Amino acid sequence: MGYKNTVLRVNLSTGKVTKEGLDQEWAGLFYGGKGLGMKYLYEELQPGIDPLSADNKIFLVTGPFTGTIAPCSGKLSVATKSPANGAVLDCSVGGNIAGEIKYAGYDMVVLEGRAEKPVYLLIQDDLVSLEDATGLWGKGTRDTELGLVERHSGGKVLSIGPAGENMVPFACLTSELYRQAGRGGAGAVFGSKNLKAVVVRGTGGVSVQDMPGLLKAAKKAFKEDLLTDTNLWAYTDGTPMLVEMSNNAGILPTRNFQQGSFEGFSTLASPAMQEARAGKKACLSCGLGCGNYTVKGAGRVEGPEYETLAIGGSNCGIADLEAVVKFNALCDDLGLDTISTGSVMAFAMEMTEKGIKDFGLRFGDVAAYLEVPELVAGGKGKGAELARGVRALAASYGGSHFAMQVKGLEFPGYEPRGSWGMGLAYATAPRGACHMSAWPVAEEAYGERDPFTIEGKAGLVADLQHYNALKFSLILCDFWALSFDTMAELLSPVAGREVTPAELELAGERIFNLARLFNMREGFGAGDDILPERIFSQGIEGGPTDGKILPREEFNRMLQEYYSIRGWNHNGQPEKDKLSLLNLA
Amino acid sequence: MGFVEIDFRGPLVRYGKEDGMPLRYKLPVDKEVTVQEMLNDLAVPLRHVGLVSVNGLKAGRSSLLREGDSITVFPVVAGG
Repeated sequence: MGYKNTVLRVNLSTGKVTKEGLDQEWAGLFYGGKGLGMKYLYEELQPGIDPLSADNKIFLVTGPFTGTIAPCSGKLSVATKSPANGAVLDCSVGGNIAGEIKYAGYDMVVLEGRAEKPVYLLIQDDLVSLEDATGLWGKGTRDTELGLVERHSGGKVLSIGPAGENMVPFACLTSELYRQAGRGGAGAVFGSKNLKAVVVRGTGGVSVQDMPGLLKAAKKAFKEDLLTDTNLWAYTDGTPMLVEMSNNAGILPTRNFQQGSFEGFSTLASPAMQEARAGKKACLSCGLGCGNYTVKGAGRVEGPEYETLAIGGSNCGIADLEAVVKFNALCDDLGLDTISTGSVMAFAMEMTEKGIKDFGLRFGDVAAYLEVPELVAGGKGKGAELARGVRALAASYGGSHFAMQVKGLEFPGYEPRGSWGMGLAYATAPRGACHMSAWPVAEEAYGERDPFTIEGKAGLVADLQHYNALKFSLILCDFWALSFDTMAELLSPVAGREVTPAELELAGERIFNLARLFNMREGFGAGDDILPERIFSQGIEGGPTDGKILPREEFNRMLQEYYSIRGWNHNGQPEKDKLSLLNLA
Repeated sequence: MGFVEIDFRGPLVRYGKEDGMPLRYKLPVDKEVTVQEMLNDLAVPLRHVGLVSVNGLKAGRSSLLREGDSITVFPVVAGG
């Protein structure tokens, strides 16, 4: 399966480093990345533990294609228990570090316990050590990474900034200066363990069962699938193209989801981004190169991606690309997820403007907006409040009906009242309001399917969730719209047997259900599969989706249909027969 | 004679630009034309076409074009 059959386990409390075999049965059922990481997490974590305690673990997981020529296979998967909400957390980061871990000889790195003082983990092939990071503590991710690369030539770095050190529940992990495992607070888990960074240098190789077969399959995929008009938008424009699309479809979150289109959208759209583009970047083994290296004013980032332009731009009423680039650069260096940071600011802006609680923030006020990231990361002033996240702020001060979050995770950049399937996807995504579990907007708001009906949406969302669960377990990039057939064609020579599309689809369902089991064990239930009141009862103001809501009764019908399609009971719990079918009983 | 202007986005731009300006498409005088008919006429493969907007608003493939319309054609997208 393209693996080294070795797991590196590091106990930060004792300093003990062990190497153990990869569980072959689990690798066979869950493939890698997201699925395999969650399986290890599910089996090794005691239910109910504090995500920021030494009892939590964090898994850095490669996939069967990592380090091979398989296209778009360069990302690293991260699994842990989320400090944002106590749910299962899986996220991924681009760049080159995943390949480096495998070249060093490992399929997975398990980090457990808690170091007494700041450390970083240094992996140089067989040599593994914990090094003193006292001098790095307090530094941003940029200085941290540049310093570590200077110290360990050729090393690939995964690090946290001050936000992670201070355990902000939406602190992220950064690699290659500009790439993040963004959502759910993996950076805070690093911080809770006094772990500043992981540095990896690997000089080995990766072998697969049938190398000529993989070369043939990869060549075909590049030529007939990847480098075609179906996928090249990721190179020509990248995600900023979605700004104009969302605006024209009325799903561009604006001023904390009060509107679905933004009068200043063109300042944030792809043509404006292309003017500021200084270059393109790509991850290991990528044929697309979606990364837009942007220089604008004092800000330099790889991005901003759509999510940042939407949530940190229009959703905060900011019609100023230079300001959003600066915001993005600040968040990257401080180690903050731009989505949750933008969302919490937008909530605070609406709270202030409605006179409920004065956070000193108003929509469109660039100066105040740019002060926030440093305050949040450092827990200073109002930043200490904002760092608690949208759900906690609403619990303290009110405004819960416009607190745009699910299961404690803030909304990303798609308006569910203009894409009803997306509402179901947000409500049922294991980690909370998340666009990576399923993305039905491509077919609804951007496509030909009616966005304002629940007909067919339960099945659509379930299918997409299985697709993404499997794709992210193989760790293939989100931007490659490949089929299960192509995945099977690529995986067969790696595994040395004929892999079928049907078994991959079933594995996607297995992995999605495993996430549900993890959350159920932590106390989550059907009552958590819900959206904020604004979505059900307050119409979008103006634009193409003016007046639209997602009626609560329609949502409830869609949710029950979804449970039924999944083989779950009315309370959203998988039935025994379903679990048996999925080898999860 | 009636014209509409068409802007293509992403890799579809090669179907459109005229000297860096949006493509002008002449509407026939004897019949109405839909978005889909216009795309077919311009030999744009429909499987590569995602969102189409007319005058900044999402439009369907069967939407009728009017003189002076400004049309934006986006490619199919994945991910998010």
